[in-house]
Amino acid sequence: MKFERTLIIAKHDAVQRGLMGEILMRFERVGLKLIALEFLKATEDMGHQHYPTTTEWLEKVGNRTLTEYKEKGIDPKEKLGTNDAIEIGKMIKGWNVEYLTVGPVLAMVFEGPGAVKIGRKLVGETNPSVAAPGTIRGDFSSDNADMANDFARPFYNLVHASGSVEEAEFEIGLWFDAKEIFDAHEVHYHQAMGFKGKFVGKNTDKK
Amino acid sequence: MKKFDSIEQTFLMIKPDGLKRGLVGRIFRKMEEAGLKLVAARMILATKEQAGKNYPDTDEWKKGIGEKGLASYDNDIKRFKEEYGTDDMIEVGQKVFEGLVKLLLSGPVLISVWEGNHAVDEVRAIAGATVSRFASPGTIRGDWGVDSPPLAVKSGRIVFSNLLHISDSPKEAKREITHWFGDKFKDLSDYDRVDSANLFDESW
Repeated sequence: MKFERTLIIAKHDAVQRGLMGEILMRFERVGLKLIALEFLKATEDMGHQHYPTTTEWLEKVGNRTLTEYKEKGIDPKEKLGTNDAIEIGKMIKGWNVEYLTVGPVLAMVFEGPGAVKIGRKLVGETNPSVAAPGTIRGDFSSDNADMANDFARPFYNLVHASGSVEEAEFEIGLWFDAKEIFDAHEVHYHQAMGFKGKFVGKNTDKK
Repeated sequence: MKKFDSIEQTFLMIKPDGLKRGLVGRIFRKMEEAGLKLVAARMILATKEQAGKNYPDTDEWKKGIGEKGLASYDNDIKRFKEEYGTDDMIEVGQKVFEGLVKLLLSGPVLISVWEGNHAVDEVRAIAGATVSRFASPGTIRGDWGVDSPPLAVKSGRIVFSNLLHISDSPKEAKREITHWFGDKFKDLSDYDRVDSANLFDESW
């Protein structure tokens, strides 16, 4: 099986709340290998590149909000000054960029079998109020859509995790230089997965 | 926050043995729970020069290392001499120094700077005694340390695993921060933790 890489960012709310260690621990505990880490304040340019700019994406994001507003009986024009999906998409992207660049964040790359999906699973739903207990967002946040709407801001959901293998590859390239990634070292997942000592199966992997 | 004299910055390195055991999150969590603020962190591969100059190259320091080793032998100097091949503390210190450099180069390390009230002493307290057998439960080495100098010597490693390197004084912290992060180092201390108001506001 091919090992994947995923970009995990403890965002600034996690930094301010002292939850970086807790978040990091959960990825280590499940057996993923930490291969890159930096505490940094992203530039606005990085923030803009981090989120897609395609019309398709902006429209999708805008429509999601429009649907939600409709369900809740909120007038988008009154709340956001427009009811155009793309315009709203741009606005939401702006909030996301602001959230990602407002202060220092802890950026990390984890490697392991199915790392991208595992990462998303540990992080939980985007909306913390519906994220399952046991997930990072479910355990450490109670933010919800009404709060986010009231203040016209994104969910404060503590952590970013790449959504797909392709996205992960792009994001890792954006946040890290190749020489800042250390994948050659032997690490605990060999123990975590029982690669050391007696084990069922052809135990031919590195130590 | 910096206006208070007692607010210090201290250097903490998670050594390859700590990284390999997957203890980074647990170590960070302990620092954060103690109210310390992260102001710099990076995963790197140390150069030979960086690793060597991390430790003070003085006889006094080497003697201290030798004496710590002897304490692990419950001050049994005869056994100590048999196993290290010498009872010259400086010579023992030199051997350990060489082993430490080798350990630091054996894989990536995680370097970090933490800021807080009496941060140097706080981090020393949380890390616990150098040899885990003497470290209290609740400290990093007390909870997760398993190695000892006699075991290391017997298994041909000389250097035992103790997961971390930390600064032992504010002066040493300044030197180590510059040494590892460079002359142009700018910390990221321009933010407040959510609980900082409770800790540093004048209106209690």
